Amino acid sequence: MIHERITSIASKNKRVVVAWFATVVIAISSGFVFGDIWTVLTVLLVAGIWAVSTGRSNEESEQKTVNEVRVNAAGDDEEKTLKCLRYVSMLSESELPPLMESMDQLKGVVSDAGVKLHDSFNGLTESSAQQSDLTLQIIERLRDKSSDDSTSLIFDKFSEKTSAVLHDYVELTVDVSDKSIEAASKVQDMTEQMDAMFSLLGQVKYLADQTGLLALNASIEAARAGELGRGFAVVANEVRTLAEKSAELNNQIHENVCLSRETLKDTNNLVGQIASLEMKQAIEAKDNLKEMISEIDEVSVFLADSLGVSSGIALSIQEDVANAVMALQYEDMATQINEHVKNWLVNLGDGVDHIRPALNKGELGNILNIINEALEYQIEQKPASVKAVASDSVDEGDVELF
Amino acid sequence: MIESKLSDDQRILVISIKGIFDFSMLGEFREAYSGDIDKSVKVIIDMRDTLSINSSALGMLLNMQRSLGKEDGEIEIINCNETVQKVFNITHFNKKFLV
Repeated sequence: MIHERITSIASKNKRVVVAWFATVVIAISSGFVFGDIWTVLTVLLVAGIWAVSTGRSNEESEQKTVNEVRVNAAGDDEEKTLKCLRYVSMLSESELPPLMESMDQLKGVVSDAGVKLHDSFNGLTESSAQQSDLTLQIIERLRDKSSDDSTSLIFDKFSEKTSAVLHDYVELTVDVSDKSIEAASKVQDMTEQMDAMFSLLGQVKYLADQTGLLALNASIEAARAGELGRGFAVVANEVRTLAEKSAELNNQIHENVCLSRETLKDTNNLVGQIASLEMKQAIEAKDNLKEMISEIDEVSVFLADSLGVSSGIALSIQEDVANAVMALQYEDMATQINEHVKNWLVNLGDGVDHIRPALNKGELGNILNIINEALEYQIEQKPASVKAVASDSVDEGDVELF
Repeated sequence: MIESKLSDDQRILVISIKGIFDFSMLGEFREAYSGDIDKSVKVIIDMRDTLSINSSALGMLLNMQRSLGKEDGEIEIINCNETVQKVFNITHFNKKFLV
């Protein structure tokens, strides 16, 4: 394509030098961009051949290598060719040094970027490793050390323990109620026994009353008997006194038993309160606990999974970074391609310097000989140049440093 | 209120508990299974009309079981509502009685 372009503009002599130089620059930059020195070489060769052939179109040996040769008056052409070559000389003197400087800048920029990317990736590797460590620490911290299962987290233990506490609480409640009811039953039995005691006390009172009455009758009978009954009257009186005391004692017992009965009633109420715990709270606690445990279980599973995934991601980051660092070898390649192109530019500059004395003297034949020698030398060197850029890939597997 | 009914063949005793089964029913409840009742009688607690229970009911049931010398699962509890059922579940009474 470039060859066609050169051919198409070749007829306009004024633009020859500009075109020739532009071609060199395009060739070099495309060669650099695509890493293909063939492009550079081909374009340079074609341009060189073309430049020579326009100057020496009257020589048959050169005509054979060029497709389109225009035959002009020899003197006029020689003058134009010399003029053209002088322009090339001027341009190479003025443009090549800044171009080489740009190549150096490019090298510096690529190198700087490479160093920064290296640092950045190293930082990334370090951060990722820290993150990975932290994840492992979290797992270790949350792991239930008392369990044989290494994936078991402390939350599982927590759920178990909380369940056990509630279970114990319920057991205790039932046990307290059981014992309290037993006690209350005994209190109730005792109350019944006391009621029986009241009935017995009633009977004792009846006996005392009857004894009192009997003593009264005996006193009356003793009075009737007069002097003879005086001793009996004393006995009857004593019996009546005993009966009264007995009745009084009976009353005191009755009062005390009444008090005991009241006390038992209070005891019964107290024991009843101990026995009567509402089960509503226990039911709610159980329901809440169930919900909470299920949530904790979910969180626990999610946490275990997430931590696993997280450490996996950290490893993956480290792998990616390792690959990226490997890929950074492009920097070496770019530097070497840069060097190669720069060498070409130096050669080009040297070539032009080489023909400058002859150019100044206007010896076209001599100039052409020098150019031919230079081109022949380049053609011989070709394989080395090709080898230099054999690799245009930065894949891990086929990196070929040169 | 508690009603107890012994079957004609004297082999099944059904105790029906009406209202709130709590400590205030202790005397009545004990009476329902006391007296000259044969130890081999099959006891069924009917909770069809039992509104709610508290822990004292659990104590009363355990005392009855002990008093009658019954093994776990021998005494049957029937027709309990959802709340009562929950209480029996969390206290594992469903293992001591045939709920």
